[in-house]
Amino acid sequence: MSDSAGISTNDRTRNRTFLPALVIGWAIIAYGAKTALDDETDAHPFALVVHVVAFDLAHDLFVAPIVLMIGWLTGRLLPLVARGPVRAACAVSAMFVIFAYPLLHRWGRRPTNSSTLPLEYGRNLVILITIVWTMALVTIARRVVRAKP
Amino acid sequence: MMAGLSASVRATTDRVQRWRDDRLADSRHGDRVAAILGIALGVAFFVSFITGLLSHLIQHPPSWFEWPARPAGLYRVTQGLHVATGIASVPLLFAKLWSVFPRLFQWPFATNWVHLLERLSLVPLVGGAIFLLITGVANVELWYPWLFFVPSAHYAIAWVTMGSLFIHVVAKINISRRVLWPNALTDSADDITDRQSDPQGRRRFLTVVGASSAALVIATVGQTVSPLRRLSLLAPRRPDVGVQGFPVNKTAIEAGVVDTAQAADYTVTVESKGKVLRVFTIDEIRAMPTRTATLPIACVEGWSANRTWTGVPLRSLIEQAGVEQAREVTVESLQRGGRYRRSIVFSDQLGDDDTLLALLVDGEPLAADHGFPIRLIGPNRPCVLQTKWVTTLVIR
Repeated sequence: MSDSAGISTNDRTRNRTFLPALVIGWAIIAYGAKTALDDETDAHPFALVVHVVAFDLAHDLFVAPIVLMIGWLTGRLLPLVARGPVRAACAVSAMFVIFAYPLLHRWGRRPTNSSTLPLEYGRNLVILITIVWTMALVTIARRVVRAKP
Repeated sequence: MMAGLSASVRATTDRVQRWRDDRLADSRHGDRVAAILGIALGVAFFVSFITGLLSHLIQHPPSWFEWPARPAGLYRVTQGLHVATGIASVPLLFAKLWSVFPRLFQWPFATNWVHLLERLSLVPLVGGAIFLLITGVANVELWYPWLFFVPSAHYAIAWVTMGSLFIHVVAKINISRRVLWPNALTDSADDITDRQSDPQGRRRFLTVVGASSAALVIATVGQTVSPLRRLSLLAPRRPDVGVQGFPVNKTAIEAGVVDTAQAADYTVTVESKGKVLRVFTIDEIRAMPTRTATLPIACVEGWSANRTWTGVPLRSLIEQAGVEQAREVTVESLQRGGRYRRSIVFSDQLGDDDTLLALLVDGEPLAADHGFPIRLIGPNRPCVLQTKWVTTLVIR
């Protein structure tokens, strides 16, 4: 692909149209930075920069390698027919677990407020993950049945 | 030794490039998937940004902005949408990052300085997008492990993310157009063939991503879309759970008003320009003609519930205090501190008969946690601006 990594076949024309976008975009970014600086006591601008960069690095150095490793492992251990559904089920389960993690620990529960985090999140998470893996297994079973002559 | 080192560095970078090229040949890492997920994320982030900006303006109104009283449930919809699109973005963002991850290893890093600036803009884009989703979800789950105050931080980073998103959209708009809607006459054969490579793998991947997005929304949206509440297994709130059957943000204990709010000599003072115009006892207010209205209570965290409120219209109370016309009224609570101890009612909402100082909810006296003996409830206001335990009205 000529442009798959962001490099145009004709850089010069591209730069001419792209430069104004860069200027406008960085002006909006600067407005965000100014908003944080103006609201220093609440927004803690330094902490914000640290968090944004840390989230970037955490994804690239920690989350992505783990996902790649699981992809590689499932590739080695599982037959082709099961690979896709198992990988998808792993990803969706991980998403539910991460989303529900603070709920499971009830970090947001306030002792004097019965309306905060009122559900049985542990049981509910098990229900959701069971649905996900049932769907994965049904998909694998259907593929196996279809593949038979 | 140097020669050996540089040879091994080259061998490693060659291996990384080969891995990258292998990945990019897979349709799930191709331009088409990047474009489709990019459009979905762009739309979701744009909706979240506009609705978030609106909520910010309502809570910190500049002189040119006034939020109307009608439609009464508009804020409930915009804020419900804000939280739902944010939650829908979680699987979309991680799928997108997974899909484009091999491109991170493009070498040389940039071909010229404009390209360099474009790639550097990805740092605030990716970091900002993850920041918004993590702080947003934690906030909805009532978990605040941060040094910063989430609304302030979330607002500033939203601008940073949207600025870098703008750059990214302009940088990728041509390639996205070419792979999604190729023109056989002007586009290269490469662009068109990408469209046909392994469409089944690509479709399956996008189906799983879309389904996860929908599943996560259904698992939470019942906190505001009441009919779906039983399906919302991961909702941090339920519109039907709480004292008197609906949620509470700040309890009377947390606000430190348990005793003072119950006092028999409870009063509401009306002031203007530092002078007290009138002091109403709570019994005097209870004896006034009341009005009943069904209004939603809608929270910034995305939950909402419809209730029937009975009380004295705010406007009639200030008329009783001898004020013919007011530009705005600051409603103050008995609670001593806290960011939301007061809120301002502007002219349009002030003129609305359903802007009430409520005494009853669903025919019962308000519970202590809902603002007993008297609270503000108006159409189309965020719940942090529906001041509880009202004790002073300052007129301007």
